[in-house]
Amino acid sequence: MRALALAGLSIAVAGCDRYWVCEADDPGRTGELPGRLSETGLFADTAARALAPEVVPYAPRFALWSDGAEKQRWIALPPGAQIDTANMDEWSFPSGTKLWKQFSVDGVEVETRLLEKRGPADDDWIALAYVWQPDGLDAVAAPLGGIDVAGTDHDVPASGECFACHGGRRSFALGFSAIQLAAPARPGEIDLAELVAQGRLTAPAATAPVVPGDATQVAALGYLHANCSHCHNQARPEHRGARCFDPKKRYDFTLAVGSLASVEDTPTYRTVVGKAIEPGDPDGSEVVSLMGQRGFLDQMPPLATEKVDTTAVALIRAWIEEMR
Amino acid sequence: MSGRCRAVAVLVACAITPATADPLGDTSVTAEAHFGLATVPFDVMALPEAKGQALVLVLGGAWSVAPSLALEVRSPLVAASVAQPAGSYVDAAAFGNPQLGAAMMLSRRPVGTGDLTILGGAAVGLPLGGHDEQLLANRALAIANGIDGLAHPDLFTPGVGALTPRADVRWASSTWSAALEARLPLLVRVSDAGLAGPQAETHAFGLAAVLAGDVRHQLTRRLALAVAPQLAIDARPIAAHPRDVSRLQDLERASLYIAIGRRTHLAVDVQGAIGGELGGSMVALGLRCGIDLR
Repeated sequence: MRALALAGLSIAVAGCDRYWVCEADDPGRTGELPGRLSETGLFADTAARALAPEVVPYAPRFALWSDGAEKQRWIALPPGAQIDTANMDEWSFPSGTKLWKQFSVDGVEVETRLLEKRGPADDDWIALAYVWQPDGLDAVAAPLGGIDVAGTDHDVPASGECFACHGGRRSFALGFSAIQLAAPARPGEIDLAELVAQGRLTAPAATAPVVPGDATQVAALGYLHANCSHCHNQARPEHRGARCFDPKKRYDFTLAVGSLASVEDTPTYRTVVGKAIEPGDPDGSEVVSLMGQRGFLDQMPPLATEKVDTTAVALIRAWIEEMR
Repeated sequence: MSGRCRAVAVLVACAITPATADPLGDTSVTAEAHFGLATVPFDVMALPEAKGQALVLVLGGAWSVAPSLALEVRSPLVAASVAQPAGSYVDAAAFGNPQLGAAMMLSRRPVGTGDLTILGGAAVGLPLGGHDEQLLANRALAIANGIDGLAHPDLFTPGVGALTPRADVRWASSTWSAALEARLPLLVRVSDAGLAGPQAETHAFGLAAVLAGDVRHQLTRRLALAVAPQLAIDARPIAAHPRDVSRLQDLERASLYIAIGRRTHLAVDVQGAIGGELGGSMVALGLRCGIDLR
C-alpha cells in the first residue's frame, strides 16, 4: 500500500525530476551514536569546553556558507591510523575517525554535528547533530533535526539530510581535504603540512596544492568548490534510491589537485564557464541568479541556507565581470 | 426505499453531487483526491512546523439503512514529500483515521423556489492513523490536514480517537443552492503516536469547530460552479503548539461540478488559504468523484 501511495505521489508530480527527495534515515543506525555530545569523545570536560587529548581543531580554507553562523571544527583520528590518500581528492578515512562541527549564532552555541566513520567502506559513516541545551552543559542528539533552535533562526538538519551533501563525495568529510588544508593553519589547528609531518597520510603530496589565479579567481573558485562541488561534481559515488541532490548535470565546481595548472584547467572553467556562468555578464549567469535568491527550487545552494550570502554574490559577480 | 432515505445517502456522500440534483439512489461511493503544498503547525518542540507536498486520497461510501438514516464510511490515505529542517525531502505514506458515521435527515420541506434540508449526524474516528519514530507519517498527516484547511483533525491526527457530531443545512432550487455545515471534532488521545517524552506536550482531549459553506450555481444541465469558504477553529489543541499560532484557519475553495451521466459526478477544485497559519503557504488542486450505485 505504501508503494502504491508513493507511486501515486510520483504520478502526481510527474514531469518533476525530484532531485530534492532523499531516503529516510535509518533510526537504528543513528541510534548507534551516543545520546549526548559529552559521550562522543569531543571534550574531556564538556562544561569547560576542554577538548579531549586526541581531538584537533582545523579550519578549511574555503568555508561552506551557513547563513553567517560561526563554526568550529575538530577531528579525531584513531591513534596511529592513517588516511588513505592514494586519491588526493578523495581521502579515505580510517574506521573510527570522528569529525565535529559546532555552530554558533550571534554567540549562542546552537548545535554540534558529528560525522563518525564506523567501518572500512567509504560510505560507512553515521551523521548526527546534537543541540545544545539552554544551560550550556551538554548537547542532546537530535536525529530529527530542529527548526529555529535556541531562539535563533538556525535550523538543524535531520541526520539523514547530512548525506545529501556529504554523500556527494567519496571522502564524505568535505572540509578535511588536501585543497582545504593546504594553506598554513592558525596556531593550534592542523593543516596538510602537519598531517604529513605526523605521518597521517599514506601517500603524502610532494607539495601543497596551489589554487591558480589572482586573489578574486582563487576566492571565487574556492567558494564554488566549498559550496557547490559536493553536489556538482563528476566523481559522485554510486548511489541507489532517491536522487537526493544528484544534479545529473555535467557541471563540476571541484578544485581537484590534478587540475590546478591554470584557472582554465579547473573543472569550473571547463564545465561551467560559458554555460551557467557567462563571462563578463553576471546578470546573465545562472549561478549568480540562483545564489542571489532563496525559495524552494529557486536557490543555490538548495540546502541548509535561508539567507543569501551577499558577500559571496558580490565576489562571484566581480569574478565574472573580470572575465570580459 | 423512500426518496427521503435516498436523499440522505446522497447528501452524506461528501456533497459531491450537485445540491440541485434529485436524490439518485441509496448507495453511493466517493473518491476525493487533492494534491497541494502546505506549511502547517506541528506539535513537536524541535519541529514546530511540518512542510511539504501531499496527495490526499479519501475514499468514502454511504448506505441508507432505514428511512431517513444512512451509514457512512471514510478512509484517508496520504502520500507526501515531507520537508526536513535543512531543506531536503523524504517521501512518506500514511493512513489517516478511518471514520464510521451515521447521518439522519431531520427535515426536508419546500422553502421558496427550492427545498430546505436539515441533516444531523455523527462519526467515530478509529485511532489507526499512521505514525513512526521519525514522525514522517505524523508530519504527512499534518500536511494533509493543512491541505484540508485544518478542518479534519479527526481524520489526520494519529493516536487519537474522535467523535464528530455535525449538522448540515442546505437549500437548493433548480439553479442555485446554498449549504452550511457545522462540525465539532472531539479528539480523545489513546496513544502518544511517537510524541512521547519531552519533545511534545500532548493533551488528553482536543476540540475543534468547523463551519463550511457552499454556494453553487447550476450553469447548464451538466455544469455547476461553486464557491465554498470554510473556517476551522482549534478550540482546544490535542497537543500544545510550540509556537504562538492562530487558532482560526480559513479555506477558500472554488469548484466546477460536472455531471457525467445520471450517476456520476465530478468536481474539480482549486483551494487555498488567505489568513491563519496557512495563509500564503497552502494551495491545492483536487478532483472529487461521486458515483451512485443504485
